[in-house]
Amino acid sequence: MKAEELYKVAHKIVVVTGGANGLGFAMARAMSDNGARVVIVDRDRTDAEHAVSELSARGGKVRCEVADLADGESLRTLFERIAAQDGGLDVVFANAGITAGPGFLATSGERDPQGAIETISDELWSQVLAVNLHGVFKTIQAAVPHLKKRGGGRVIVTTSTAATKTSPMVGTPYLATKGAAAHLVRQLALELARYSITVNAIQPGPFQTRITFPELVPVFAAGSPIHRIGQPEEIEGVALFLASDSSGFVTGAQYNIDGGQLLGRAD
Amino acid sequence: MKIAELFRVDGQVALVTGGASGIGYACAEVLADNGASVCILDRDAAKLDEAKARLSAISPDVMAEQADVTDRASMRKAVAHVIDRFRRLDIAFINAGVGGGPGFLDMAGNRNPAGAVENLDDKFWYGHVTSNLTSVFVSLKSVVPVMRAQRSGSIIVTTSVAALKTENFVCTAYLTAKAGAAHLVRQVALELARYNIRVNAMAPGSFVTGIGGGRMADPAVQKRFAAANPLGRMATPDEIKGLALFLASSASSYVTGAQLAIDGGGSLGLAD
Repeated sequence: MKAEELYKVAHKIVVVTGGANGLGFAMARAMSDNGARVVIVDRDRTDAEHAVSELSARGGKVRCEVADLADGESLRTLFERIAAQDGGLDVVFANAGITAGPGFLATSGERDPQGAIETISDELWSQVLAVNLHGVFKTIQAAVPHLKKRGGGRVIVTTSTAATKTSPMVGTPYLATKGAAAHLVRQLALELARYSITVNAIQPGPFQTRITFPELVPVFAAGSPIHRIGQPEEIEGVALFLASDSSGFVTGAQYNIDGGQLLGRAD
Repeated sequence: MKIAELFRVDGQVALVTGGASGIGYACAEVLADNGASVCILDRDAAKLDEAKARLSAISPDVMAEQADVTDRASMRKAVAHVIDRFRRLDIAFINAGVGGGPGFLDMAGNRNPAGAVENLDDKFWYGHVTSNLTSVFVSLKSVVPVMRAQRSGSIIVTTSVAALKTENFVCTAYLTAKAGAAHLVRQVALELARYNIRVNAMAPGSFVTGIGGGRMADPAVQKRFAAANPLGRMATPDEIKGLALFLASSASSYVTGAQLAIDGGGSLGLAD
């Protein structure tokens, strides 16, 4: 079978949360470049509108919605509107995520008091949970009725290699929320399999996005077996595979895309 | 990026061990369908001829080599023939494996004395370690020198979800050998990353193939496997194609050392 047929997403209706930037934008682009109808959901109107105009200029059928992912009620209303206006729902990328400040080690390898467990503010903890965990949960809650109505669909959650391994330079709330999201994916995959809804996670390692601290880029590159960090466009292949019919037998999986980061270090 | 561009393999050269049937054949077919030159390796001459004929209907750039993946000389010769004809090697599916042997429970869920650890015949132990672990090592040794000289390559090993979780009706020796192969993939991925060679594993769950002496063709066995799967079914070999082409092509340029499960959720446990 030709690749165009295998990974076909044309005419699918796709929602990408956090789709205005970084990995989410690359996911939205991979979909819209290949004929899907894409709704970018983002909290930042300016960024979202900019993303829409960039993808539209490439011939994509894209629009945006501004939403706060911590607000479950408004997400339900939003997905109702998308299903009504765009003609249903096939694929949801629950991708939006925020960083959680410094880890307990600084890039120098010294302890960073700001990232110490006893210093992390309740406010930061709550903010990170609101987006990275509650946001994923509420996005999927709002989407599932429409996927069931469709007789099946795809849910793809962006987690992180920090969900699998500890990472001293990554903020502790980030790591905890990603670990929780990864396990939520497995449980929902089990629940939703009989409705032909697959639920999988893309587990990126270090990528060059807005939430990557610039000072960490050389550290991550040096620590990577392939000696570089990922570029957002390198997420497009896995996004297309998991969104398309060709991943029909994949569910509950964590697909890591990390340049070998989880393997450890070599030379 | 457009799909055709992203998953491009045309002009590339691929080798597939265990390529005459099942998952291996499906990998070979998707590569040929997308313009790669493909050599299938198999120990079964009759199946090899038949598979070569089917692939030749897709592409003229197809070859078939009878080879034993547990035999260094045989693998060296087969790889040399590929290089003679196609001059390079970009993609290697190290897929050949042998199933079968008793689990400690039978398909009905009762204890199976033949599969009990204290009774398990040495022939199963040595057989599975040779066919499912040493075979991967021998295949890696055969393809890596070519890729290292090129400073590029993508190697994809077929492991199994049985490498990731326990399975009470799968032979203990099979499961252990596959776990060895899974960890070998990680170590070799780490070693070869700096030479721009990516090494990944596909970990399939229950696929209807000829593995295990053809027991997957038995409707009663299929029913048992389907009932143990959250999606409620087994997969056809064609369902590996999306994952195979993703890993073979530069669409997976930042993926190495990964075990990508394709198991219908079989490793999650059971729902209704």
